[in-house]
Amino acid sequence: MGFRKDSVLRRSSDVPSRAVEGKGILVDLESGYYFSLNRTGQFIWEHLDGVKELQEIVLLMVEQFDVDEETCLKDCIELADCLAADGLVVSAASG
Amino acid sequence: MSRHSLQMELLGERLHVNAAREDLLTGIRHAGVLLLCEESDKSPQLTFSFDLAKSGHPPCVPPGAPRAVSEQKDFEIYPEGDNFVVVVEQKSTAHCRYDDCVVTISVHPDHQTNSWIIGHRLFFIPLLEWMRYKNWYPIHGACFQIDGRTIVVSGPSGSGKSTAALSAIASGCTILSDDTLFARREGTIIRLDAFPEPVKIGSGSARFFPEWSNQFIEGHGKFSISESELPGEKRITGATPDYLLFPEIVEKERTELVPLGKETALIKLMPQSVLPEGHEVMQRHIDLLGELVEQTETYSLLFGRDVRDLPDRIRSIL
Repeated sequence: MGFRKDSVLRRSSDVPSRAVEGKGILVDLESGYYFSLNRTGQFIWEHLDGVKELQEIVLLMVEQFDVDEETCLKDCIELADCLAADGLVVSAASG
Repeated sequence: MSRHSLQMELLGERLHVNAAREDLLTGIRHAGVLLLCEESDKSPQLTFSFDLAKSGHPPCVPPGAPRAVSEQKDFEIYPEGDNFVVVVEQKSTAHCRYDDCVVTISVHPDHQTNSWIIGHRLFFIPLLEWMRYKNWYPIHGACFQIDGRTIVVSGPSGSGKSTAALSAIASGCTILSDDTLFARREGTIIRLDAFPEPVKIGSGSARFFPEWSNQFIEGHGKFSISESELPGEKRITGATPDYLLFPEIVEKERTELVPLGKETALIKLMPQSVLPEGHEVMQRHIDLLGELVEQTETYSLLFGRDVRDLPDRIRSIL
């Protein structure tokens, strides 16, 4: 998808999700697949609200987790690309 | 042809069935619903009305219907506005209206003597969806109590749920159900209600219970035994679960219980409960299952050949 640090994404409207002990489970109603997220993945998922840029989420993560900004941004973009490829998130600009 | 009518009670909800032939009622009994009474002055909360289609070509998929929200091997569920219709093999239909609590069932001639289709597809599936609408969420699981602690064993058919339940019964434990449970939120906790039906097990498991061999009734590839045939069986209708076990039959002598992470437990529990449908209902359903997982201690149950010792194995983790 090639997202950048100023990309703004939001969770797709038809993806039920649930956090358990900090980790996340997503259900793709279209395919019937379940996806699981680790703690950092769940943190990112919760902040993909259609308002924050990925860079802002990264700054929040650096405060919360023991990770440097550069690594965190790379991982955040990688996860966003994966989620978008499965239709679980969309660009906020896409309406 | 005489007109038959039944009143049933399930989890405190009164159901009413209009059916024109005894074999339809036999099919409904086949679904395992316990008939508590056949006459009542109270108004029913849900009415099933059966109609025997004379033609071989009843309308099935609603004209202009959106795609099915659930497609299984022999039936689909389609939305109809705020309601839904179950279509079985493109022949029989069950139109379910939430607003006036009526299920109108048209049974195709090919299905009119098929107890499985009548009982499980045209009666049980709409009943499950209606129960969910009333905030009772079905879970494929057995449930029993050992030393006052409530144990849920959840897994697909053939994973050992009923065998576990029978083992518990044989050792004097109290049982809620061997196959179907309904979960509901009560304040801040999740409670389970029993779905009363006979215990059903495969022939491979029946051999572990030779003392009941004369009571097992064979049918549809399973042996069933009603609660009245189980000496000493103690049923309860509801409980708060403490332990959630996910069984897997292993080729080992001794059964083991291995702690399971909550996230994995939720992933294992969802297929035993969730039918695909609208996002909002699905989200409520998953939230409830998540709370159930958080409320309980979760384990993998590696079910060995020491079937009769299962209650003792479970006691070791209590």
